[in-house]
Amino acid sequence: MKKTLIIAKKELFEIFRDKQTLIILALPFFLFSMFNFGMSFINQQNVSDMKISITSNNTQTYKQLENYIKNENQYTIKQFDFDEPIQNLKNGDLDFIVKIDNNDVDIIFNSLSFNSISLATKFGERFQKFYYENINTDSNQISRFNLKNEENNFVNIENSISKIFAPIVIILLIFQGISNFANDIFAGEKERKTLEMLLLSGTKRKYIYFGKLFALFIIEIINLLFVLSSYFVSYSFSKSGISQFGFMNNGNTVVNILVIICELFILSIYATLTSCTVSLVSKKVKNSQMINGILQAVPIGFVVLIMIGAINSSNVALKFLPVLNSIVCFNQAFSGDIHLTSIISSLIINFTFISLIIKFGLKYLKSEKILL
Amino acid sequence: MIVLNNLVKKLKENIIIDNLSLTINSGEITALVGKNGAGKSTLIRLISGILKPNSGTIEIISDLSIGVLLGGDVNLYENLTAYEIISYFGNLYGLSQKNIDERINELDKVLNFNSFINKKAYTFSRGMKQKIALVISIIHNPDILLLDEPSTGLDLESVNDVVKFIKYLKSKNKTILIATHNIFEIVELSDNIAFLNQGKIQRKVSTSEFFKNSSQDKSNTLIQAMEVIDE
Repeated sequence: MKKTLIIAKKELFEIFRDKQTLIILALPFFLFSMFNFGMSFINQQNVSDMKISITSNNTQTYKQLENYIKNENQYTIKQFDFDEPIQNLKNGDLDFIVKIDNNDVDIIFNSLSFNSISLATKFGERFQKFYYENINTDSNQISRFNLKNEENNFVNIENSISKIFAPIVIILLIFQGISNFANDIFAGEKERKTLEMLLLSGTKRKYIYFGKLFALFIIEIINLLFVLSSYFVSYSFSKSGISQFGFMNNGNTVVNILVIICELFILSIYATLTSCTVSLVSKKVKNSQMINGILQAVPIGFVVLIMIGAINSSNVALKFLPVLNSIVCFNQAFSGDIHLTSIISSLIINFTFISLIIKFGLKYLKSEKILL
Repeated sequence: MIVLNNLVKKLKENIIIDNLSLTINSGEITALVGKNGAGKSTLIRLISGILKPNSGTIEIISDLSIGVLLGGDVNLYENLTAYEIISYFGNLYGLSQKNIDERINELDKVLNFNSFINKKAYTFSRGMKQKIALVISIIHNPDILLLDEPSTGLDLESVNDVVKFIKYLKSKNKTILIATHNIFEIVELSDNIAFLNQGKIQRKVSTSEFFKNSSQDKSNTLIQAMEVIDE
């Protein structure tokens, strides 16, 4: 145990003395700031080729709304009427639907499409003003403006945007940040031949393995804290504060936060273990960098597939796939949605898989392959 | 004393050490001589324990501690100072910081590295790195030293420091196995010469006896002996 700590201490000392470390840890803040800047830029853009469906039980209101949209020179309307608006919205043939029913105005968007969310939000902001000036002029009668998703559920629009992008960026940074440090931890020592000196010191190989792993895990936790704090800080400054997030808006905030922390913890262990194992089996740092780069693409690609709807996150098979089931649970908890069975199966499967990776790493380090 | 019995080591189906037997007596310096690829480095790694033989035994009498200097380019942890690197290995050997500092003072008198002990390793020359690697190999005061080509690639001044270091070890009655191509180390420092060829010890002879009849050109005598072994 003492030797494990000696090795971990030396690794941390070496990493924090390197100026590159500070740059890597500061990277999330720049990324999130740029992301927010990009988002605000998108909202200021003029819109063209919008495809809208309008439904109203009042012919006069329908006409007024149609005229408003046609006269608004900010928009270029491509198409108005669709026979099956919801199906067309899901297929991507429609950008959003405006449904006026007595005093309720629903603006329905496709929650899997960033374009649909953005256009619906923008339209909603402008149309609200027009509606009170021209359609509902009775100051005693207040209309309800609702932003809804394709399933007709009330949705916080900014939560929907963060639901799409935040998990990708957070998972990318969790996996990408640690691999920068992990590449050198074994492969670098092999390349410099300092690993042989370490093995000759008589230190048991399991102490070397756990010492290096422990140091990397501490770095990963620091990286994770930087990622999350950068995310919250950049959003708090640019938008309406952290209350926009789904997990802050429902009744189970504490449970959601616990699930998010738990799944992020598992994903951090995975990121640390996989990048460390790749470094262990690689002869050179550049090989380790290449393999880790490819491996990082797996969770990111997976989140993108969920985002575009190619994979249904409620698919039962996903509960049994390590790492991916954790990402699904994280995604769901981030949107304010938790499924207890998914969380329990994720914990059991992931900790079994993690112990197998550790076993493999120890076996490899004890073998002569490490020196060849 | 180190006793090697019928050692065999294969690496990827190639026989590197082939039924090798050798005895290295306590307090003696044995020079391990052989061409590149003869198996010298593999033999040192086997004795040090980081490689395991496919068959045969390695007996180290009285469970003595071993220090090893590996051959080839020496590299250290570039962002650490020499003092931090030595302390790191000292701590791994189980020494207290006080013991490490005492050993550093003692070894500095032989290797003279105090002038750069607080500098980071990326600023070091090949010779400076070799000095620190030598200090690491002996920081825990081992009884047995395995040195793999300690002076290869060094400038004259650094070679002189290495020779001084080996003499110091000899004065402390350490048992040393030194793989070398350096004729000076063989003639002036070793007690015995073991000729290694294709993974086998072809001949072991006392240094004084080997050079008994060679009057002037000792390196020529050595080369001729290696060629005879080759045939």
